[in-house]
Amino acid sequence: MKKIEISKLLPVAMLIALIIVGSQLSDSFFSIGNFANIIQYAVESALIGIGMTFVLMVGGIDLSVGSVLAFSSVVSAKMALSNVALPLIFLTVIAIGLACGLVNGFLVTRFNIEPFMATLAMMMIMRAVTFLFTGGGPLTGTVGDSFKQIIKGRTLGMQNGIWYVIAAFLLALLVLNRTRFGRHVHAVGGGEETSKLFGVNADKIKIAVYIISAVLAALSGLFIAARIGIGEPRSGQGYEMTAITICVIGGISMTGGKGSILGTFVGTMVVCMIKNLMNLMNINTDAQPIVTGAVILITSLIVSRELVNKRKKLVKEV
Amino acid sequence: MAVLKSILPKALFKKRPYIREYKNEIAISLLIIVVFVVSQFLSPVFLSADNLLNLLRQTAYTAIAAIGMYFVILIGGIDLSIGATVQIVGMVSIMMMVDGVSIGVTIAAALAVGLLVGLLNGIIVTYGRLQPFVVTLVTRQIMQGIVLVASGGASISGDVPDTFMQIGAGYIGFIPVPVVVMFVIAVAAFFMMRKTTFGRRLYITGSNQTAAYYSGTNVRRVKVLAYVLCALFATVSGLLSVARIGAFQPTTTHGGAAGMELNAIAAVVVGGASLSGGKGSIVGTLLGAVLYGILSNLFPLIGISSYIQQLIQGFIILMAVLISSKGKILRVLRKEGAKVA
Repeated sequence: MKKIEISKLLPVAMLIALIIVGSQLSDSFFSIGNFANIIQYAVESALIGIGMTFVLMVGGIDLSVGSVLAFSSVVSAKMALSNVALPLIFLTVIAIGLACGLVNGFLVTRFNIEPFMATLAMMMIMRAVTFLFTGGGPLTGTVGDSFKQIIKGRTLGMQNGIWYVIAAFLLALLVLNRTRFGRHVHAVGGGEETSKLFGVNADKIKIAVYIISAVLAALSGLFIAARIGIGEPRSGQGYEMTAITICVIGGISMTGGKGSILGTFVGTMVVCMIKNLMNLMNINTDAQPIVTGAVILITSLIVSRELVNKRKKLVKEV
Repeated sequence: MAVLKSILPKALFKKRPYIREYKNEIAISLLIIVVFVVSQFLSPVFLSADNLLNLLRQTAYTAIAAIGMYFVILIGGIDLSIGATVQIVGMVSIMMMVDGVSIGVTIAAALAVGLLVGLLNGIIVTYGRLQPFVVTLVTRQIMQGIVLVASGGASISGDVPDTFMQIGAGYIGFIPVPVVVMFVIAVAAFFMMRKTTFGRRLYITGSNQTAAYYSGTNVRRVKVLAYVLCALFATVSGLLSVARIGAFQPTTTHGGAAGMELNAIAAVVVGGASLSGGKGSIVGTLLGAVLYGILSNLFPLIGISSYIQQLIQGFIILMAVLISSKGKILRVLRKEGAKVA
């Protein structure tokens, strides 16, 4: 019988354990209302997690998501404050994402800069641009009701946020598993040289995944602006860590090629549930990063240990 | 490609091989001189003795951390946690000083904290076989959390003895103490890299791990030690900066999300190191820190807002990495050209 891999079971096991522990620790945790609440507030993490999955799949990383999110949120808040039509705001947000993703992609592919360094610099630059845009403080005022309805409204009796989460995961699942582009993403991550020999334009695929990541981050920025109704230049700090946590828990390999959107989904749920649980138990928000940090370290250590053992076994067999 | 080849003054290197060896250092020195001369015209205050001493002192903090970062980058790693290390060390030492603990014990405790952080980073990266930037990003997050929880997000101040303040604010002759410490550390590091087995092992581990392993280097131990050195140097830098103010503020050293670590990385990369390891020198790192220090001293003097400064810093880092990776491309092309010829 084939030995069951811990790393594949780990995310689901964590989710189940979390639900059991959560319902013991807090009375209000295990209820439909709370779960709906968790998913509704998971929109930003889910979108950024999906984007990060695509980037990690090709062996890259995108640390600039938090800053791109912040920039798009202040820009969309500014537009909403001056009563610009919704479709125009949407287009601008997508354009911001496209531009940031293109820059990241070009820096990584054409200029051969290590992805984490290029996106780290972008993170710094976009954060500075965001502060320059608002002049330092938040942009406040009254935004139109239709802008708030983007995230707060209900469609068919369910909060819009839940619909976005469902749509995003379904779309990502389709793109990654059922399209040629998705296969190419897998191929480039599995072995860039090999995929090139098979005629895949690896650079193009890489630029595309950075664009996906940045556009999703920009959309999250729009949702955050709609949620809080102001343009807060400090929003989105630490989101790159949230995304990495989601992917690590979801079993997405940091070196590329391995992972699935289902893993990302489970990872998102685990991360958002941990956060929800910590809030329900009144754990200090400053202490929360310590817990999530420890979770990333332990999970990735378990996974990497298994990989090493597997390699050792292979060597022995040979 | 012929164009690329013609840009490089090949004849220059052929006659004087030592110039080739110090190509990077010479280029940065020239750049520093140019920036220095230009700065003088941009701001009348720049060349005053006060400002120059201030510049040197600010450079010292970055330079000490950058030398530590150099070891880690040399072995092909990276440490994104030094900003958080500086914070946690600052907090611990100020807390102990306010509680009336003696200076010796405080410094020892601070160094112990740094040692622990470095050991953790190094052991998790090498024995856990994880990517260094992920591990150090996580330890950064954890340390920032610890600092915020322990300090309650508020600044810590109180009766800090004058002798402790002298470490950061004092002078030896007319030179600020941090600058003296920087020179001592730089000279020690220079000799360690040149004259000791450990220094040579750092180089060989960085340029070819497998070769290092087969020639009898304990690669893992060398790597862990590099992270330990990096954290310790960050600790020294943190002690010097916190002793100057005599109080701790939980938000000072991580302006935005990226703080000290980016300054240090920029200095190292500007100094000619490659992020894939095996390249660069202590002198280059020192010069990189000086160049970075001059620029960040100059910007406020000519009235550039702090947000634009951050923007420019981002671009400097990008340019530095770009140039170091461009160098890689050029070398590959030149090699291919030699093969064809």
